[in-house]
Amino acid sequence: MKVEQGTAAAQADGKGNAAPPSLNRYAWAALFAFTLAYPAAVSFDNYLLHVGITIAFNVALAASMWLIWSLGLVSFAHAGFMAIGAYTSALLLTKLGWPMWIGMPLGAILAGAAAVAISLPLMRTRAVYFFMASWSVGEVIKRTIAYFDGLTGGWNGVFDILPPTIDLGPIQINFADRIAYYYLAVVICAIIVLCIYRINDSRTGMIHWSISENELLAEHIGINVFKHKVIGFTIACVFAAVTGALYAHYQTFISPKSFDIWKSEFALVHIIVGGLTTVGGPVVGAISLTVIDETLRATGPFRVILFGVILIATVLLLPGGLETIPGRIRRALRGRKSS
Amino acid sequence: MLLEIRNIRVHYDKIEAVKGVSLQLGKGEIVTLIGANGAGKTSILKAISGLVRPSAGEILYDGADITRRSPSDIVARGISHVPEGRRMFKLMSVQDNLRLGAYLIRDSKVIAEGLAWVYEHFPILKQKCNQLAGQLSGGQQQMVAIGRAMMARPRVILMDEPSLGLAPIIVDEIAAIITTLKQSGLSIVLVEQNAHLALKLADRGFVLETGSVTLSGKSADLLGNPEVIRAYLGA
Repeated sequence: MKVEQGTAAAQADGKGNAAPPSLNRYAWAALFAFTLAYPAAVSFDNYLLHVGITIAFNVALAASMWLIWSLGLVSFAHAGFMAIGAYTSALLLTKLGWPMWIGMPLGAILAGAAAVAISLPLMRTRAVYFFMASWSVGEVIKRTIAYFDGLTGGWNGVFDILPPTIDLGPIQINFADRIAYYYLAVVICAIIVLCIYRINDSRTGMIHWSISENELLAEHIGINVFKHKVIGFTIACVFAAVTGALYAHYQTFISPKSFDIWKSEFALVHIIVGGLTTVGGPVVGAISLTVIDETLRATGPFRVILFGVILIATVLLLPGGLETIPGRIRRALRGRKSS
Repeated sequence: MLLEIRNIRVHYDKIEAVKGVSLQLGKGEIVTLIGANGAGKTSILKAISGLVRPSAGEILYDGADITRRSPSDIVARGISHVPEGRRMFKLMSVQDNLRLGAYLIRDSKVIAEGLAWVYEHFPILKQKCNQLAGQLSGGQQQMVAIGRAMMARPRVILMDEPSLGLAPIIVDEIAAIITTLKQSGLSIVLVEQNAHLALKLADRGFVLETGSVTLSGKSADLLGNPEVIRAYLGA
């Protein structure tokens, strides 16, 4: 009986809140310090900076999708809401000349309003039905954008989405400079991850996980499940829209094809490979898989196949994803000590 | 009367699970619903807590009509539900489970008082407060479920089969807890298949058969009723 309790406690340890909080904090601080030093570390190599920026986008996307996951939902509408943010900001710039600093928040607001509106019917569906419905929402957003080609340029997309500039007299930054854009992307990505971390760490996070584990019981104890699902989903979609605007002004060209189902699918793979129970999961997953993806770029079509292999290998060999590695190591060490 | 149910009916699609049931619950009283599987006991509890919508009838609580209210509103008004099967968030710690019971309470002092109350009445939970709820024994899980309901500071508790699947010695413990709750002024609707236990704890009882009340009265009378003895007490 005693032994059983011992292993049970060890399992509880591996479940996420396991690592002593200080260690966790060091890991985050180290990661952030590294991202800040990264441009200098790669001696401002243009391609490697591009990889860094791509990683920032992917981290922000995966982390915000993970926020929806913490409600027990897999949403494939994510790329669609990214598109709303991207197109709003891009069109405001190209049609009206409004800079990204206005376009990005407006895109976020528009995406938030759309998320509330669509989640009212969407959240009445469950599990796989939610997944399919959200998939179609993503497709409908993409095709709606393509349909109104007078405004959006249709499938040809929008060109010349210039990066923003900051002009404060003595301080002038042009984000067309890749190093500057790298820091912009990293800072916004860090803010998004921090927000999600805080949400998850709060009472709201506890409520999310309770809904994810047992929706009926959550309802039993008086939790307004519907309300929390709508709010959580909307926050995540706003983050996706911010990422979308950031993406548009970096690529300077977007088309509906930039926001197809693959964007959502890759974000989901990042989460599964990284881990599902802490926000560290999507962050680590997005970083490592983007690096792998870029390394495999030369292999052409095999990239996607290899992605599939990595996904299956993770599920089979490392259930729980990369985030479980520290716990596994700790348990292995403890096992050695006690034997 | 604190809680009054008037002639409610509950339908699941075309099947009528509750066919016009009325009952009253006074302050500080325990009322029990006994009956076989499928008699409609759980459906009545779910109708009270807003988890299913009755197709007819009304539910009055403290003078207000709560028939079409949402579950979270009903919990906020002071009716907590302890669902059957000791359901809990197995992947969360005992303490988090309890805290979730206080979902609608913002005041951290009140939450701390609630936790103190639970740990005073269930000392074993204090020892295990950081363990995952899924690792507790059945009796301890039932304590978490009751404690979680108490965290919402209810005036009425709806208990669904608290003795189900527990060892006799644990059942005695749960019975003692129910008595304590009553003494502290709570009103309880107790659903049980263990009719003997239920009638011993309750002031009044209602016997349900396929969705209707066939017998009701003081527990002592029901315990002596030959029909109840034959059908439910197994004598």
